[in-house]
Amino acid sequence: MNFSIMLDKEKCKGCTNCMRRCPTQAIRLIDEKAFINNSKCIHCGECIKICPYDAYTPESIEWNEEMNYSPYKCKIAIISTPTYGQFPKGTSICNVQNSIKKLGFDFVYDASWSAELVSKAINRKINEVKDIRPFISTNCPATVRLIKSRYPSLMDNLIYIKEPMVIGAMLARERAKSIFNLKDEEIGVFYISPCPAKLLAVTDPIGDYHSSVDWVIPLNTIFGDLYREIKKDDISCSYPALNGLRWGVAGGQSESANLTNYISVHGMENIIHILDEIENGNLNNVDYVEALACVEGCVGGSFNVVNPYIAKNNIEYIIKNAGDNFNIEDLDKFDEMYDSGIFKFKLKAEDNPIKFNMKEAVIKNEKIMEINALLPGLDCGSCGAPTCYAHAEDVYNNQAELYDCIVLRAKNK
Amino acid sequence: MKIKEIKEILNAEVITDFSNENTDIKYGFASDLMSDALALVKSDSLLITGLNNSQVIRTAEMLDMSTVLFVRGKRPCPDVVSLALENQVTILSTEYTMFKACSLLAINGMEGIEADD
Amino acid sequence: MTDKLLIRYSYNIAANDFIAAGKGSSSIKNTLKSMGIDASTIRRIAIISYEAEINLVIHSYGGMLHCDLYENKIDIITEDKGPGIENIDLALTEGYSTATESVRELGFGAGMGLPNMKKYSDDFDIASSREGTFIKITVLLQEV
Repeated sequence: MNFSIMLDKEKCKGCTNCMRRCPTQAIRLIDEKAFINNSKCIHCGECIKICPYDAYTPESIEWNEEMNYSPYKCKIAIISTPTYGQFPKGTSICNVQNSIKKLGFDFVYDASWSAELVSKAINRKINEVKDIRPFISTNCPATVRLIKSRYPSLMDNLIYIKEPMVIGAMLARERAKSIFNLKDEEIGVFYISPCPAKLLAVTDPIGDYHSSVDWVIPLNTIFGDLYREIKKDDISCSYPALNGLRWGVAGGQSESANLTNYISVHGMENIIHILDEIENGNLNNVDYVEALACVEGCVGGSFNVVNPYIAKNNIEYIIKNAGDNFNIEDLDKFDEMYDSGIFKFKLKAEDNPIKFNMKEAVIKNEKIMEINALLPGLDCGSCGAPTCYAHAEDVYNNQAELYDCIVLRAKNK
Repeated sequence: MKIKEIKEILNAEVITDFSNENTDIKYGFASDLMSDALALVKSDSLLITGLNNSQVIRTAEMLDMSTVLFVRGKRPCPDVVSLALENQVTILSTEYTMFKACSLLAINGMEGIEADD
Repeated sequence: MTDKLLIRYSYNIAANDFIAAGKGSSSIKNTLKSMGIDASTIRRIAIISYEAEINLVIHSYGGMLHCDLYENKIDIITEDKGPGIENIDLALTEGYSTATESVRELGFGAGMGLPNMKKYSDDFDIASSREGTFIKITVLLQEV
C-alpha cells in the first residue's frame, strides 16, 4: 500500500492557504501549484482542511480493488472510535457495524475494545515509571512526527505504548487465525480511518514493529455506502466498549485511563504551545499530555464527514444512553498481556532524530542569513515559500532560485 | 482564564490583541521589578505591572509570555505598543490598582506562582 | 569534545540607553531559535543575556555583549569600561542593589540581575576592577 496526500492540480489555484497553514513548512508553490515535501510532511491533514477548493484528496489507495480481487479468506474491518459519531443520534450501533460488514467483511473489530486495553496499559506505565514527566501520548501519528522533527529533545517523554489501531489489528488477526484456522496471509485487516496520519502509521510506522493492518480505508470514501445501508435492521452485532469509545474525543484517552493529572491539548497550534512549555520544563508536575493534532481529537480528523463538535456530541450521547458496557474477554488477560510486552514499543535506529550539531547549524545559519539579508522580509509568499526565511533556506538547499522573489526581480529591472 | 474574562473582571481595555480562543492564562505575577519576573515566571502567566516602558515587553518576550496587564490606568506609550505589536504581546490596561486587580483575578480563580528555590 | 569557538555574535551596548536595551538579547534569541536549538536552552540564554544587557545599560559606562557558540555550550560574555563592582559577593546576593532611585523607577535595580544570571547558568565567572567588569556565563547544550 502506498500513500501520500494527493493534490488535484486542476483544482489547485495556488492560493497559498495551505502553505501558510502547514505546521512543518512542508508545502511550497511550484509553477503556481502546491507541492508537498514528503520528507517534512507529518500527515496532520491541516492542508486538506484549509483548502478552499478541496484540491487535496487522500485517495491513492486501491483498497476497493483489493477487497474484490484479494486472496484473503477472511476480511476484518477495524472500526475507529470516531466512526459512531458520524451518524445521527439514535442510530443503532448494530446498524453501523452491519452496514460496514455489508461492504464485504467477515467480521468487525471495534477499536474501542483495544482502546480500553491500551488505556489500562497507559495507566500502568504511568504508575510504574515515575522518573519521566510528563509522558506524551503516542496515539496521534502526526503529533509523534511533529515531536520528531521539531522537538527532538522530547522524544524521551513519549510513552511508547502502541495505539488501539495496532493492538486491535493484532488481536483481531490472532483471533481469526485461531477460530478459522487460517494463515497470516489469508487474513486481510482493514482499518476505517478518521485521518491521513493513521495511513502513514501503517505504511511507515515510527517504532520497531510491523503494523498488523493491511489496508486503510478513509472513512469519508465509504460513508455514502454506509449511510444507505444504515436503516436496514439486522440483529447480530456486538457493542463498543464505552470507556474505549471515549478515545474518539479529545481527553478521552486520559479519562478512560483513569488519569487525574493530565493535559488534553488538540489542534496543531495549541500542541506547539504546550510542547514549548514542556521543553521549558514548566510541566514536569503533569503525568500525561494527550496531544492530538485535530481539533476536538480524532473526531476532527479530515476523513470524518460530520463536524467534530457534532460528532463529539453524538459519541457522548451513545456513552450516556447505552445500557451495559461491553466487556471484552481480553480485559481479564490484561496483566498477562502487559507483562508479555505487547503494548510497548521502541524506536528503530532510523527513527531517532538527527543529532543536533552546533557546527553544522552555525555554518548553515550563516549562509541562510546571508541569503535572507538580500530578501525584502515581507513574507508575501509570492516566491512559493511561506516566509522569506523559508525561501532563503530553500535557496541554500538548492530547491529554489533567489530570483523567484518578485520584489528582488522588480528591483533589478 | 481567557482574555475575555480578564477583560470583564477588570473592566480592562484591550490595547493590542494577539489572543485566540485557546489562549488560557493560569498564573498571575505582579511586580514592577522585571528581574523578579525573570527569576520566577512561567510562560503561561500574566505579567501585572505598573511599570510603563518598553522593558516590560522585552521581559515578556524573553519569557515567551503572551499577555501584559498595566494597572492604575496606565496606558502604554507608543514605543511600548509598537514593540508589543512586533513581538505579538497582548496588552491590557485597567483603572484598578495593582492590589485590587490582583485580588479580583485571584477571587476569580487565577493562581499565583510558587517561588521555587 | 572540542572547545573551538564556532561563531561570536557581538552587540555594542550604550550606557543609559533604556529604549534600545534588550535589542541585543532579542536578536540572540531569534538567531538561536532559527538554528533549531531546544527551547529550554534558548529560554535560559534569553534571560541571562537580557539581564547582562540591562546591567551594562544601568551600571557600566557602556560595553560589549557577546554570544559565543561552541559545539557543546553557549557562552554569554559581557565586557565593559568600568566603573567596576566594589563587592562581588554582595552583588551576587539576591536583593542587594546599588541602582539609583531613577533606575529603580524604570523597573530595574531589584538586586536580582547577577543572581538571576547565576541561577540559570551552568558556569559563572566574574572579574571586576575599576577599569571594567568581565562576566562569562556558560550554558551547556542538552544532549539529545
